[in-house]
Amino acid sequence: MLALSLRFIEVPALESAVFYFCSAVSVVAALVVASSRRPAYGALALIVCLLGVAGLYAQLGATFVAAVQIIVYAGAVLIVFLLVIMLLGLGGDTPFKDRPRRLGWAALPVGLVLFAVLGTVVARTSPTVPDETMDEAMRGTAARVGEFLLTDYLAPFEATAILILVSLVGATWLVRR
Amino acid sequence: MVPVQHYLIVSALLFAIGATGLFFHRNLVSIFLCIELMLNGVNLTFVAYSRLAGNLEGQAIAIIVIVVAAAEAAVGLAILMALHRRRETLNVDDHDLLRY
Repeated sequence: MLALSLRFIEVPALESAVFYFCSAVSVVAALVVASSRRPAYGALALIVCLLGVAGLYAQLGATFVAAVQIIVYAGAVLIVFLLVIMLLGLGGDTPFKDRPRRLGWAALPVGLVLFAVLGTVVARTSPTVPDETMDEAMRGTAARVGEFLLTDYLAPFEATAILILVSLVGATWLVRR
Repeated sequence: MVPVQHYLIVSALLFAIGATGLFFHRNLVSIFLCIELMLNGVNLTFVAYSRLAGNLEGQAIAIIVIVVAAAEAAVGLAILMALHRRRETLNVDDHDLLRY
């Protein structure tokens, strides 16, 4: 249902407007995540960033991934983060003293160099640009992605099932009294 | 239409911002949030290349990455709560011993 309703974003005339809106929202929210001193604000900003990225997924035709991103990532994983922040009391009246490290500002040139390297790699990849209209066979609907996961990617899919079972049992064991 | 390279540039930007925050913060929860940000940048790259390649492999990998991120968050937050119970602090500089 959500994957279907996300398709309204793909109006061709609005495509670049929606792209720039979603990417601006996600980049600004990412900056808030990276710079905020209070983890609670960082977690809330990360939710906004995830929603923006979900809009980008929907624009790329990956509607199922966008729906999973909203439901699982922004809806479940980040709520667990917020619950832990609440349990530990990091977001309340007493601000958590997260002074940057002594050389914390050295992170800025590191990030700039990293972006320069990645941007150069991206600019140098000149792949074949797909045609203007996305053909219907390429669209990542739930049925198509699900069939792909359960046929070609069956082994990794089952491996992730085992992984998440083991990790949840381990997490339960770790936080026992 | 918007070229796929623009999506790749946005994902590179998200990854770089996440890495910057990772080096910047000392609070373990904030460091975790920055790791999630970097995972998102990588995921956007996978989906963009899936669009370029014209098949669904990148989207399948993105789904798997989301599941792995959920598992990582569960274990990581459990470790974080156990550390907080031991030491009453989440500053990474205070957790510099490989034993309790």
